[in-house]
Amino acid sequence: MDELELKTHLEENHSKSFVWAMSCCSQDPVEAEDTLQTVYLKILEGRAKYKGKSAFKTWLFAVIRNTAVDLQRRKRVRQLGLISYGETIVDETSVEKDEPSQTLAHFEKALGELPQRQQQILELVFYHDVTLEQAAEVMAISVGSVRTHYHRGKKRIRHLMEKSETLE
Amino acid sequence: MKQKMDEQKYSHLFKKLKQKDQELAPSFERVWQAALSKTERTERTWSFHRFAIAAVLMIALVGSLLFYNKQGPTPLQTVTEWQSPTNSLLIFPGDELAKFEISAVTPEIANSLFRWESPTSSLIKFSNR
Repeated sequence: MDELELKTHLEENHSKSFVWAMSCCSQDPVEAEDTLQTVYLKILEGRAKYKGKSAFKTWLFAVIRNTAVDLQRRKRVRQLGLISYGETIVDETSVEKDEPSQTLAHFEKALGELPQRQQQILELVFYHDVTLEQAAEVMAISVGSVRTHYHRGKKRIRHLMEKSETLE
Repeated sequence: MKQKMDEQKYSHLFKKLKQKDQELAPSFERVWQAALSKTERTERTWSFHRFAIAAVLMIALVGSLLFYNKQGPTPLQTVTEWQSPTNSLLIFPGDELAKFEISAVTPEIANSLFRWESPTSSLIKFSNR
């Protein structure tokens, strides 16, 4: 795949890639942009090569996830040295948010209560239209594990949404 | 049936939820150009590093050659020229006669050798009388 073709594919998937990067970076848009930039850099330098073994999107999402994990690990190491005892990190992205509709709010809340892996698998399947097999490739885990996370996540989200709806 | 409805509902809710995230996405060109400029910077840094490494190696090579030339004979030469301190003991008197070549003897030398007499030969003659 030449650079122009690669660029076209990346451009087509850019906004979805950003959303996926957001999920991998705890919904931090700045970090997500950094991740995406690093991913493009990796691709340009040939450190990440598409060999055509899977769908382009599956491969790209796997690279994004790996890069985000790597960047977060480095960030954590830096923070260990910078944050003094007793200080807390304020998540600025969670402060300013539009007031969504009630169902959407329940859904968002329920989703937030799921383990990150379940959240990501549900997002891959329901938002990015990825199959369970492809999700397994992106997450670098077995299809069996993905299936388990998917079913557990769905079950839990249904339970949490029903619970919050009955409370109102 | 309920499961199918749930899945459609989640899919719809996900789309609504992620719409906000999608709106936050920076333009592709901006991210691409930033990555491109980083690649160029990395390449420039690499080419400088490569040049620096090559220069250091060159200096080291020239330096070692100069140092080598200033030194005396190589250790190998010293080894071949080495002589044992007791080598002189192996030389015995008349050793040069063993190396003397018969073909080098001229008639004059042969004559003088033939006519040579020991200075004490007269004493031997006296005692015979």
